[in-house]
Amino acid sequence: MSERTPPKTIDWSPWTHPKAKRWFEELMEQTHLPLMMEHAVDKPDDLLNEGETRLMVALALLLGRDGIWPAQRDAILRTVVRKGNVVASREAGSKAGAMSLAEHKNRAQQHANLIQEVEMLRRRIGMSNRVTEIEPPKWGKFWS
Amino acid sequence: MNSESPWNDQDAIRWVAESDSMRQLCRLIEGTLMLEVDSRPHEIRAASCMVILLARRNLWSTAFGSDEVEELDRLVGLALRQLSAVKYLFEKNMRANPQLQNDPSNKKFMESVTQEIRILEARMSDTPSKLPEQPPCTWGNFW
Repeated sequence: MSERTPPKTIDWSPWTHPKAKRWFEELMEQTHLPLMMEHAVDKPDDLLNEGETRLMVALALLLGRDGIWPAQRDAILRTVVRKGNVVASREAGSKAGAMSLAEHKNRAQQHANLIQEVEMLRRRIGMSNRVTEIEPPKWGKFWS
Repeated sequence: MNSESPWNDQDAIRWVAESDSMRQLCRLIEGTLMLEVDSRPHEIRAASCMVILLARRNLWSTAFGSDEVEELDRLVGLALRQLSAVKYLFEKNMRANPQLQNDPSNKKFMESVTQEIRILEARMSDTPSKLPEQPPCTWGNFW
């Protein structure tokens, strides 16, 4: 009796079709976005800016996936994680001058978000073996 | 506007505003959305998905002096129209080729495009969305 094999399914995600892949390749090459992201975080640790670093982590979370991100630029994702970790290990930043309680709370929340986002990126690119469930980022709703 | 989003921080806003890369990225995505659907359906779908990911206030790089909300609405509207045309093109192909109608990959593809269209429609809507929080079905384990 011949065994019926399930039909082979093709991965139709928007970034795996060969034509889409080529489009993303050209997009990243022409805009130099990965290099600019590296430039934003590739500085001495004490000069790293929390807001900018968190933005690079978020862009890496959105774009750092097979089909979108150029394979030859994977080292940049690891740099973003490393620098994100540096900022995440600091205490929540404070601005010059007096801060209200609400501002303190807001900064602490942003810092907690950064810690979670860095961990998410570490797992994505294989820098962490943790498998426990992790919540999507607070800004992760696609339609908001 | 979600105040917890990374792009709503003042330093992040400055980076986006000063970044030639982001400006060029946004222009290239928009340029792709203006291509003929018949000849570039997969590129247009890819560009529409980039709109879903990046067309957010303070993250999308708008033209100097333009109204940000208005420009985002126009862009999302363009992506919605073009992705709907992509869906129509593939439906037409399916009608012409009945074998495709039973192909599980093709069914999943059509389902995903429909979900992507619904997300863009939700972005255009003024009323709170009741969409599920999962990404479209072909996007895999997105986070």
